[in-house]
Amino acid sequence: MKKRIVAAFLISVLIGIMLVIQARSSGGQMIYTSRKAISDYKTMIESEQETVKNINRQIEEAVQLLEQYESYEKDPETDIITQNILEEYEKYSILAGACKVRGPGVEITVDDGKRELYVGENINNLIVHDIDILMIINELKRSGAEAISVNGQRIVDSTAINCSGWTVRINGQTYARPFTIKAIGNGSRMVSNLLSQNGYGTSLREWGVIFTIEILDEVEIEAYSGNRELFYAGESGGKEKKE
Amino acid sequence: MKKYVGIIGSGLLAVIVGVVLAVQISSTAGSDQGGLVPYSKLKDYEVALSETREEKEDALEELTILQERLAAIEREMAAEDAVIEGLLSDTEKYRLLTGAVDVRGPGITITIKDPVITDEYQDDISVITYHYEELLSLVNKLKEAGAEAISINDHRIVQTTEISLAGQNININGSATAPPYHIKAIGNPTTMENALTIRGGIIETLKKTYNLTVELQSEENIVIPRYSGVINFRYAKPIEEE
Repeated sequence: MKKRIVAAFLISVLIGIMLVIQARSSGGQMIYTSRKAISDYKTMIESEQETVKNINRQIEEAVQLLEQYESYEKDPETDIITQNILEEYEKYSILAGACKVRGPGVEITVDDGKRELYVGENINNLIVHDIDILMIINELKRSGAEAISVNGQRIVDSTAINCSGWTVRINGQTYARPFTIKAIGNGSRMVSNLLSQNGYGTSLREWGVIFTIEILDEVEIEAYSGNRELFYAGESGGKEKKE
Repeated sequence: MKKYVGIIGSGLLAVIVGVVLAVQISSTAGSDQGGLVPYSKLKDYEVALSETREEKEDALEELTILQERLAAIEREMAAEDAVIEGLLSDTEKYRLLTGAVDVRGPGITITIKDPVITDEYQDDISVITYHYEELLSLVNKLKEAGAEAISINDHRIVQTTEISLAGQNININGSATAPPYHIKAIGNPTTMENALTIRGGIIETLKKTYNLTVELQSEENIVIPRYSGVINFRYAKPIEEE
């Protein structure tokens, strides 16, 4: 009989020790995690690997270009350097919005809904908000838009779009409805993304907001009108540079 | 009659148990994301991810060095030609504005974490991923507050950057990302902090409406990496101004 009691006691002690070890070894952290966390890591690793590949491709291109540059003196006929300088200038001036651009694309008009309100319906359902414009621009970018303007204001890196009362401020300038958004890029891709079943244009229409989109062979987009200067950011710290 | 009460009772119980089981099974069906995995397994992935990130940084550094060598040759040539020299200095200015180079400066960092998981099935979709438009809005507010350079999880926000939902992840610059989100912005730290933390502002919305953990910190010196992709214009052509 006593043996049993002793055995039970020993087992209890053992279990107790095991529990303590278990709790200690996890160091207060979770022992288990969700499958989602694992799949998140997998996706991130894959996407980083894709980025590395992409960078390596750019490195190869740069190495090739460098070889061409270095052999340039032997063969000044093909002026690869000037050509490359011009290409880079063109690319970065489009990106910075420094020049007017032309190309195929779409023109979108967004306006407040005109229909009567349902009983008790919030008027906000029919009004265009800054987030709507932001989402449309975001969808256009996702569809590969190369240049975008809203009411003639070129969208650049620093462009903010904000509701301020009854008007919307873009690049620091004030506009009111209706909004005309122009984008250069693959028109049919932009339309199908915006007008798909879950597309943002479709859901705006469901709210009652007026949303039209038209594919055009030629769209002209104005240059950015402001003068951008960086005061805080710089390759070696913006403020140092200013001094 | 009385002798049937027991049978009916157990019959009803069986039906209820059956229904509960069916509901349970159908509500978890299709989400094989549930269930738990030992934490130690995650460590391996953490290591693999940081290795890939280091590899990426090394590759970017190599690319930057190569591009600097190219630029040096270009400058040498431009010294002979004033027009080319002008083009080069404009290109350099535009590259700085459009995120083609690493930049440093004062600013703020924001960390957004999903709410702490309290039950096993809750984490199928991350709250911040599902409400990705809040990230878009946050970036917009940072720009409004004068941010000069912004990155999310080290993806530089440039003119062409999209923030969109793709499957169960947010895509930024075409790359899949996952929470927690670390946002860096260079600019006037006080202006940016005060613009975001205004009552009823974006930080409060993220915390109160979506129950997210948000940490905001002002910093003296932040480094924001360059854009690592390639941008090529296939449709847009510049118009020469007369």
